[in-house]
Amino acid sequence: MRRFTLFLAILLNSLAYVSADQPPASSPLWPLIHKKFLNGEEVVFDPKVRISIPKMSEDSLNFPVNVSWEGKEKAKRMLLLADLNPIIPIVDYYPEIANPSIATHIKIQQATPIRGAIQTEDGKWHVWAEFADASGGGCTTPSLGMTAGNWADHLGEIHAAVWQKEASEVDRVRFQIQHPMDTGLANNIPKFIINEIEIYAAESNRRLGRMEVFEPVSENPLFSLDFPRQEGYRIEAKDNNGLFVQGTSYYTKGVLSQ
Amino acid sequence: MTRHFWIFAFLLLQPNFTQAFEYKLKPSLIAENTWVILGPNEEFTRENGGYEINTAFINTEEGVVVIDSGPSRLFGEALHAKIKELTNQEIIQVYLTNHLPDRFLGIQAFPLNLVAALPTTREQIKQVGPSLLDNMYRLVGDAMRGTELRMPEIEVVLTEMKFGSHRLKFWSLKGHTPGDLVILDQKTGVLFTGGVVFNGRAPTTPFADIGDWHQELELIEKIDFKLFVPSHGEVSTDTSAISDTREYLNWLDQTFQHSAAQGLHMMEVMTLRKPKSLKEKWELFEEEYPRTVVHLYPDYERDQLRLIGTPE
Repeated sequence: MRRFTLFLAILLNSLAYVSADQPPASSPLWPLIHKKFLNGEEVVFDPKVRISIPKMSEDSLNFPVNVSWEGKEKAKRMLLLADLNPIIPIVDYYPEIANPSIATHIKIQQATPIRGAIQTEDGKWHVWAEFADASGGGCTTPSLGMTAGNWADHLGEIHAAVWQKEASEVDRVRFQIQHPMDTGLANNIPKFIINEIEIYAAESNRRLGRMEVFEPVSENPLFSLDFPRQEGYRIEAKDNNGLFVQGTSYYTKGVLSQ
Repeated sequence: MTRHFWIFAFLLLQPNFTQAFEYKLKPSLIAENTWVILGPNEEFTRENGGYEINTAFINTEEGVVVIDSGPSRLFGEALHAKIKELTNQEIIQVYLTNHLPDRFLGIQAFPLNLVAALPTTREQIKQVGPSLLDNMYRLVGDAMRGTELRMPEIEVVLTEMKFGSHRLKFWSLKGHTPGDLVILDQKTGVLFTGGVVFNGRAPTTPFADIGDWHQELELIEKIDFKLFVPSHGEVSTDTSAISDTREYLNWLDQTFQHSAAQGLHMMEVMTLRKPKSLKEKWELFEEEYPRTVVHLYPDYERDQLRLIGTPE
């Protein structure tokens, strides 16, 4: 009996440990990530950080991710991370005058937790993660466009469209930039990526949001962002080779009913 | 008796320790001299060893014509042995109906100078074969042991071939994959549709083009056959599986078109509410649908975007 009590005590203890200290998608790298990317600042594990990903990666070069913040406090920073990618950060988004949601596609090198860290105005980080199973190889594979021949003719082009969301004063902006997004991890191909994007209100010239973009974002990065309604949106992007591109998109599309 | 003996005896009795994976092939006779090995309506698993499609063989007077070779070396060998056992004849030709791994990886067990595929299929094997093979090892595991990439040495360029009294007619199509080989045995009226027609199991789309696929289904519907062997699911005499497959593709096309026109991103499309009738009609729908979104939605969403800027 005493043995059983001891066993029970250990079991309960470990359960308590799991709920209190373990990150939601447990990963050996979490302590390091906390220190390196969140500066060891105050963290709560919070399911209001909503991470929408498929259970299983079908294409490790093109894995869809949507992270949004459902808390009441204003999000000032949204950091997306893949714990077990060779390059951990994906996007560092500052939704200055934007709804706290970002959707894009990423490369994943192996099965990994996909983590969203959202810093609210009080400086506190809200962190959640979901586990993505993957067949691997995303980050160390050369871009496909590079082998397609005429990629350089279209390098840096921005394609975009704006939708109005029904029954809300919110616009959906989607844009795609033609870029190989080479990670520098494939043989003899140096790092070549879009690394900075800013979005401005076309009329007032006010910045609505900015983001730092990292290597794991998929080739020809495609972003879906939501903003309080504006007349139009100017998108500016830079890559790590000094390329600069901008373009303005006005409301062009029908009404988004969802 | 030492303790070591017992440990040894115990290990010996462990099925996984002593035996390699074994495929249990049960060919059924569906027409004169024509056998089909029906795969289960499943995904690739360790238990099914990656075998979930339908393969077939025709026992002609000149020898046996095999249609698709299965997912692994072990499967190919088991198929080879089973054919010998049932027919006691030599194999004279192996046809591959597309480049998907569960159709072509088994060719390792056959003389490669007997293996025939469309030129486009060979091209696809060259391009994506290595990654398909890697992925099969990951998904299926032990059953893949010893499986290596091999190239079919014959290109199917003719539209007809005669093996004994069986005159086979070929169509080189595309849609399900860039190279779909459809074969009609004009003697028995059996149509081998390769990966093109799905019967009750949700269609797979990793290399699909919906527009082309529609056209090939229309063509197949017009072929005069008595019996057809679908990619997955039961052998059938009527065309309902063909129109079902077409309806499914229509639904995908409309759903993606509508979603893209509304500015939905991929995760929103994946989590849309789906009609209950589809889930009931198609086995593995919930598994295949998210994959299909990844395969096909990018083209639809790209179509909605307009060029707004080029670099200075």
